[in-house]
Amino acid sequence: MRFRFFLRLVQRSLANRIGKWLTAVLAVAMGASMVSAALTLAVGMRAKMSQTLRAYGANILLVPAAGPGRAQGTPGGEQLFANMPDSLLARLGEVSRGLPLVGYAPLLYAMAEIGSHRVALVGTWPDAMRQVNPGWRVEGGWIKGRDEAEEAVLGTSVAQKLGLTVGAPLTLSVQGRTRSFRVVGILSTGGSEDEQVLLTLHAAQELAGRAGQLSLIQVSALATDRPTEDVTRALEAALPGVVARTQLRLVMAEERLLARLSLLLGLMAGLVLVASGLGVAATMTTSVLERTRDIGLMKALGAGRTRVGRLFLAEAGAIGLAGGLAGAGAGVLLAQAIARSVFGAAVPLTPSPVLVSIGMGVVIASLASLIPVRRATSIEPGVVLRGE
Amino acid sequence: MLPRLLWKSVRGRKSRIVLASGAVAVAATLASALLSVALDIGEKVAKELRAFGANIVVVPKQDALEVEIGGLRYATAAQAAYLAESDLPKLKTIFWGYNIVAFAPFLSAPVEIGDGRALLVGTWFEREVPLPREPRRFTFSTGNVRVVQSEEASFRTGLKAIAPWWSVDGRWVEDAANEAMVGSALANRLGLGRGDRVSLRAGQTTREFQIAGIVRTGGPEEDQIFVDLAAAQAFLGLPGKVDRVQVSALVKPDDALAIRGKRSPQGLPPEEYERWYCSPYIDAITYQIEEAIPGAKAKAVRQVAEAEGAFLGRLTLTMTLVTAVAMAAAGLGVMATMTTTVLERRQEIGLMKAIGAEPRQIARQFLLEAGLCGLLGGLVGAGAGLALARLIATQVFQAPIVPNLVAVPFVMGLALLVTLLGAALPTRQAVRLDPVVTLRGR
Repeated sequence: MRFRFFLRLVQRSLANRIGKWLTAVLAVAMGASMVSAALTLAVGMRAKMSQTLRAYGANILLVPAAGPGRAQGTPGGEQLFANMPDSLLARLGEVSRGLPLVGYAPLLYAMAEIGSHRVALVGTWPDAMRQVNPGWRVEGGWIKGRDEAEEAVLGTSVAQKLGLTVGAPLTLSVQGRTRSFRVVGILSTGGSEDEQVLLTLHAAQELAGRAGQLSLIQVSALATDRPTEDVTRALEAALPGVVARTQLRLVMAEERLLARLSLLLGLMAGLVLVASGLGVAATMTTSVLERTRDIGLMKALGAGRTRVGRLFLAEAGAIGLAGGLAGAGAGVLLAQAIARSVFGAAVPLTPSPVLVSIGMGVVIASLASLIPVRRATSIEPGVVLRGE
Repeated sequence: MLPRLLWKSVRGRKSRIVLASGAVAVAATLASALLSVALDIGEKVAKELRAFGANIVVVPKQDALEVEIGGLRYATAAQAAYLAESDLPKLKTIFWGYNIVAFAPFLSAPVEIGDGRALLVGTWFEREVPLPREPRRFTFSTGNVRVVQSEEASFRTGLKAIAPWWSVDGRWVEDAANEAMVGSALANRLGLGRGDRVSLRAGQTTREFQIAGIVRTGGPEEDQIFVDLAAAQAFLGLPGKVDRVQVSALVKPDDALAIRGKRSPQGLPPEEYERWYCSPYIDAITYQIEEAIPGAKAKAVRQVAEAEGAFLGRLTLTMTLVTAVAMAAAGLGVMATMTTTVLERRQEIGLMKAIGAEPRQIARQFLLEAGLCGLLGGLVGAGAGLALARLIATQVFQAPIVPNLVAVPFVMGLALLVTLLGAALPTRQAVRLDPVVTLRGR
């Protein structure tokens, strides 16, 4: 009975002052939405940024356990790298499903001749190569599929020095085997690829007379949930006769950068949390201060301190809950909108930002109203009623 | 009359004015801190991204085809071209010399080791390069002359600066003439360890080096041997020569002008050419390097440049959006607070009107009060925000933020605007009402 009366009191108080309560709810919602948006971004950004950083290229190399053969570095040496069988690719395909891989591309290196010039030749899966190395700049087109036997892409330096352009015919020979190709694109990377000729894996294997063989596999792995070293170890364990090398250049720089970014976003979210909390507190305090006279009147009519306090606390709680709920939802939508416009994809939804922002709304709104209410109830009703 | 009224009102309602100013200050702090961080973050992160390695490679211009795999040149000495080591300090004398944060020269050739072969690489591990102090003048065809002067007398660079990810078991080379570092894969294969002596042969000459450390990078370096550049030059009989220089430069992501400039710098109209030349685009820097070093070809490492551009673009966009949203929310919050403060005083407005105050007088007093809150809160908040941004930057990047003076007036102006707007709307409404209605209460 008393509880129902209490509920009615709260309800009446809210209904009579609907304009002001709406302002308060709005203020809480604003704060909560900022908190939930900032936290959602702080949690989701790491994965997105890690994905962006994969544009730096392969961060794991799979090489034969025997290591690049002894002839490594030999001018004119035929066997540049030791071989591994391309049957590994099927096994890697199975293993990769359980790992956070962006992609992987097999490579076969060989030495070839174009007329009287010697040039390094690379066979690969063209589509996978682009996936692993999205930062490359290509003029013209790219080799269309893994079975294109006659298309070739030239490194920009090779093209310049030999005076070849897109569409030009190209004749490559390796130890007397000769094949003709057509230049479909010119690749410029600023790296070794500028000096190389790129073919499909199959065409290169056939031309080099090394059917079923590979020199190395480039792997691009995301560093989101598990460290890259873990992925490296998993790959090594799953593929016999293979050494997996983590590219320290990329992995260490990435870890450092992502750690700093997480710290930055965390600090920003913290800042937003504090500022929003203070804003909510200010609004609630103002709205209670305004009702000092009401409190005096209640006390004059015989209400005890606890009852008045409880009433105001319940009101503040209701405001906090309503504002927190609305704000948390709005904040998540806001974070999604930002993520969509920046990364073109949504960030994953996590419950913690929503809970934190609702919690902030309720706790801060209640606390902020409790302090002025306590002050008001401790004063003689007469003093309060007479005015400030 | 008005100042006295204002003074009285402020004194009588001290706690509320403080509360309103406080609300403004908190919002302004948030806005100013986020704005300062957002304005400076690009530069800070660009520096961080340099940890991903060199973004420019300088090689000698040559006509012969090179055979190159994984950064290794399989070229014979006879056909190779070289750059002069003495030209290297010129890298810091280009227009954007300040943005060259590190560089390291390399001279490599295959040598015989044990019963096999490996690539010997000579480099600067750590070197102090003297810089010319005299100002450099750049004259443009528009008639403008720009003068650049380096502030420091010397520049510390080398492999340690450009490849901070190298993990060395043992120590780096200290005794330049007699020590070497060996890649871990090569060391494993040959059974070499720290402190061992290794004998290398190139052509007819043989030299012994003591192994100071074993290098692990995950890259092709693991199959190579590293010695000081001078030792490699003497050993290979190529005094004063280098065959490639890796350069790490701070660059600005490409935009429309950068793309037009890349196609043909000389084809740009004079004003655009000057703007292009004086912007740290990667292609402008490679262009300037080729101008400065005779016989050099400077190549942008596309993958690094593009990844950097994409990352920076996304980061700054995120920060800008977050800042904009936070500022909008903070602004609305302040407006709500101001509205509440005025609404609360409707009876007072009624009373003022009842005793004959003009609506304009009332509005003026209320707006002045609001403006006072806005200015006070804005000033305190803008300052606090800068301090907070500095703190954040020091925490995250170990370097303080450059205080951006645009942020202070901007935030203060915004605070003033928002408080005035927040106060103006309810005042207008209250002033219009009949005093009897407002006086009777809600």
